[in-house]
Amino acid sequence: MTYKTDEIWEDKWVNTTCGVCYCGCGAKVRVVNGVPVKIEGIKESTMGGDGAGLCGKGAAGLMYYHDPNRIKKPLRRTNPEKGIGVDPMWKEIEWEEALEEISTRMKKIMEDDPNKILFTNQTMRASDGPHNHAYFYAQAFGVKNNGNFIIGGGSLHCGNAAHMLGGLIHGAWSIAPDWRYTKYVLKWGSSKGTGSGHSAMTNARLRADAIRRGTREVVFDPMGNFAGGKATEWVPILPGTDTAVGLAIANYILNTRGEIDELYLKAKTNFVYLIREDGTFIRHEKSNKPLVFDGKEGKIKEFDDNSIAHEDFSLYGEYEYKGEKVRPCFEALKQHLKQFTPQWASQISTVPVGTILKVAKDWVDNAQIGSTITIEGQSFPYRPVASVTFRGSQGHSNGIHQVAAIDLMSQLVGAEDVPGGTMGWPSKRRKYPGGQYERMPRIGEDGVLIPAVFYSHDPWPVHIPSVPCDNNGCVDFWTHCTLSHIPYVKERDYIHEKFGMGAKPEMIFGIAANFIISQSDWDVAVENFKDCFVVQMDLWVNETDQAIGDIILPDVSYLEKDCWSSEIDAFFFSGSPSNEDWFVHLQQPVAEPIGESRFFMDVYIDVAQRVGVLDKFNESLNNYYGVTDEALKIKPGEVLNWKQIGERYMRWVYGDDKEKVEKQGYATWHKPIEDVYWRWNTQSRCPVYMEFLLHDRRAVEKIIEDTGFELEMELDQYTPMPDWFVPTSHKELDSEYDLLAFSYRDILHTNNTTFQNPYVDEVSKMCPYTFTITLNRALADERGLADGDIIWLENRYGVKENGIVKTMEAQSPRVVGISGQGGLWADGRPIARGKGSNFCKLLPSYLRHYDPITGNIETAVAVKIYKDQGR
Amino acid sequence: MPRWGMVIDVKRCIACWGCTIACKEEHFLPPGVFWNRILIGETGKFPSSRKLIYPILCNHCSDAACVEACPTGATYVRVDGIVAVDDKKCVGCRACLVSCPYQQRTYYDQTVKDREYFPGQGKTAMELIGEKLYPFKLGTVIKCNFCMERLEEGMKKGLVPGRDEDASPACVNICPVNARIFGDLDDPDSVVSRLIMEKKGKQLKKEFGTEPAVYYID
Repeated sequence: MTYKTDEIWEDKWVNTTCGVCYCGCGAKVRVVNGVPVKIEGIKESTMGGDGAGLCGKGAAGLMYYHDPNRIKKPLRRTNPEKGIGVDPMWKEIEWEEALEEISTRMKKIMEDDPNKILFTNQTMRASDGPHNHAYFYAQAFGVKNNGNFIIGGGSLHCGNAAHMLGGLIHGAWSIAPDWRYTKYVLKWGSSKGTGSGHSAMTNARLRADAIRRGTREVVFDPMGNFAGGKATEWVPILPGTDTAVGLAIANYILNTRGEIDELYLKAKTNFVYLIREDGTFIRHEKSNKPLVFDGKEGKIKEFDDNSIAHEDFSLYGEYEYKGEKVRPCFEALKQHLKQFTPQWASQISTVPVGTILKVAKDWVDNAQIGSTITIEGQSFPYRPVASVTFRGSQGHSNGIHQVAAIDLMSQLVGAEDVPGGTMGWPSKRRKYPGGQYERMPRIGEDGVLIPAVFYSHDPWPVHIPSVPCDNNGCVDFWTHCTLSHIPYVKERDYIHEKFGMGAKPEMIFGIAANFIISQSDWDVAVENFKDCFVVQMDLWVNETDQAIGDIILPDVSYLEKDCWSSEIDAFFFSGSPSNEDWFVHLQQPVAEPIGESRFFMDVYIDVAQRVGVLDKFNESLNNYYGVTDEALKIKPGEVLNWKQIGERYMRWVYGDDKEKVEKQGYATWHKPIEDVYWRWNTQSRCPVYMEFLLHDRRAVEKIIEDTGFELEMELDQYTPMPDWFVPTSHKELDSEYDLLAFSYRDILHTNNTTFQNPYVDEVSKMCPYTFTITLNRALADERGLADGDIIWLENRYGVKENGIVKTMEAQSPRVVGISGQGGLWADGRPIARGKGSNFCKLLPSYLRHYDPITGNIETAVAVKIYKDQGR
Repeated sequence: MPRWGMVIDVKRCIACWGCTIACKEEHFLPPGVFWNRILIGETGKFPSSRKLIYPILCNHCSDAACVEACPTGATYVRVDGIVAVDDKKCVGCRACLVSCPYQQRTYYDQTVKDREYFPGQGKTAMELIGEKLYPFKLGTVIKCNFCMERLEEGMKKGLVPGRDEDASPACVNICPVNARIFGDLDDPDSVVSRLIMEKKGKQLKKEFGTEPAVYYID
């Protein structure tokens, strides 16, 4: 076996950023005779796995370039009828014709109301481009409030509640255990470190080392597969009931054990703020600052009064202020938690009482309250316990209470953003040495952090719900969502009418989104968007394009992309949560674009120029990157493509090292220890007592009354302390619809994009669970079902999906598991067609299925199951 | 002379399939051919069941059943312990396929060669260039070779297998969780030898007596 080197005129490696999921691992690509043939990680980088590691789907990314099903020219629908199962009768058109039609339509709509144009991005092929720029692109068109920025590819994968609390508590988009120092990790519907979530392989590498070091991991999950299957202990739990267990653990910590980190609670939380009987803060009449009780002096003072030593803030007691009885929030919490016994939590969650008590005890025992650790010469509190949640547990109609309850146990023992605890990340980005671009969180009113960058509107300060809404997502009313799900709600038109949203959507300009099949009930999604003129930029014609697309523009894959900005922020999805240096990878083209495909940022610029809003977009870019050097700014009237903009901005971001960074394909610089555990030395306070929800409730109730809004909303959820609310899916259980279907992320798949990858497809078939519907074995026996049977899942609204049974022991006997977004049918993606089952379609999309606070859709659903009669 | 071997740390492995796909790319393996796979299953009863993950590849046995079964001497154990196939001697009788207790061998014929990753749509540029870069002989048996070309090329440059990327198997390099460790089993101080000693490394189906060079620790 020999290499035939005589025919090989080029054999090189090019550094770039992986674009198969949103994690942005460093990737290098072997290119032979101009053809990409292999992908590996970049050994030097901390973005990715151990010593050049990359996951399977990352390695398989090659196929994005090689797929003959890629669209090569713009396509135009010629069949005016739309819908699932309708042939769009595509016709290839020229770019000029496509862009002229798009911009002409946009201009016409803008004369009326730009809010009639919806913009979507993609998180299914991020870090495949500067995905967050889509929303200030929308602003350039005059779209208000980011609420027309509808969720794209990620859809039900996204986490409004998780991000809301990440922002409020950590000033960050995400959370992860501090793997380097933690000893005991609780995971709740999260696969951090076992293949999913942000910085997936970075976390996997750090976790593997932690586990080898002896860190114990307890995973609460309906199934023992990716996270649970690797855990020290897997604890089966019913979807959406994590709150109950979390609150029982918090009750144990505070009321049974009584071992808490008082100093942390006094110095870093708003639990010391004084509240009235009705739960609202008392505030200083002039400064409007919340008040606290200085136990040493016996006086009520403003919360940031420097004369109070941290240990002298009162957590307990009852005081009088101007004739009113007041008490610290913490006193209220202590009383509130007493109702949540392990027996009560066990009945709701199916987690045995003994397990709850054992975990609670282990949690406190491992927290090492009072201990410190010295790292790089600096002393920090040492709390080696971490509790992390993500998409699974927070994706419920009680989402914010789920994440708040899980966060509470960390707050009580002070295990937040200190060595060994739960880390928020990414939250900071220091300047590259010699460069200019920097992102730092700030401290806002009431001492609460304002994240440096957030995907949509900042979680703080809170915007009180108001109407009329001026955007399709109605974020004026659902003020805590990061990305609004409201455009997908069945009663959307009613909501718009009642809340004064006058702009009925007329056009969608999207990037690789597949929201028709990846959010909830397909028919509702088609109904809500079919009257729009839908333009998408993508690699293939996906299900959304086939059902409702009008013009599809061929995008380049990450392997053909020249994108200096892809993870420049290292902000939303990437970066190491641990004590590791900063790494930012560039996306460098390894091959020529396929056909006439064009990078969506260049198409954005082209369209903006045609519509006449390019100057506005350029100005927002200057502002986003904070460019103050006149020579590097984009000036009014200038038309630069994305690469040309990069020529200037790279100089701004990396200074004299621009060329060096370009040459090596990434930038790395030192992250000092004070930027890892930065919050400890910040005078900020976590708003764990969510007082703002009381004010929200008043505003919401008034709006409902004023507008005569009649849809069901669980307003009791607007309460400041985490509490138990039954998820909608549980409310819909009865003797007929008796099982809860849930979805989970398979390590092999990024939503539905990867279903079209033949490498991934091959190995998916070797994995017993990826393309099947999983059932607990005893449950299957009871129902007369066995491996290989075809079954139907049907919800109470008559929506059905079928699939192949795979029985397993490691699954709760009251649930049905589906790995995400299969069951695909687009003609443009033949590898994906017919693989797996689609979970999303089973999710009912009535407003009552949404979390009233964050707008999260309930991602479990009551179903009945039955065997297909054909088999 | 070293004897190359591998330790797979199943405690670290999260079954991301990086090894499987990197191996396919390294050797331009056609659809349906795998030199690296992962066996996934579970043991025990609810709620105490455990997920099992076993990444498997050729065990490069020192007393290999396939070598014994080969009538022409095409399959042989090299001095460095790698079980290799000399495609000039292989007559495609497939006795080795049947004899391998680990099912790690594939018969490469025209039907395998003709397979396309995008069925019915022609071979991609990558598949075509792969046939030039890493050709297989029709009518022979192919299998994992511990990336012996990488090892040999790397060592020529003074690199050390198991330590340096360019002298180590592709599946070891790609692993994001460092679950694969490669090295010299004959060197008692090598990382693999120490891990086998300290963590009581186990061979798969030891009872067959083939002396695998791949060990598992958990």
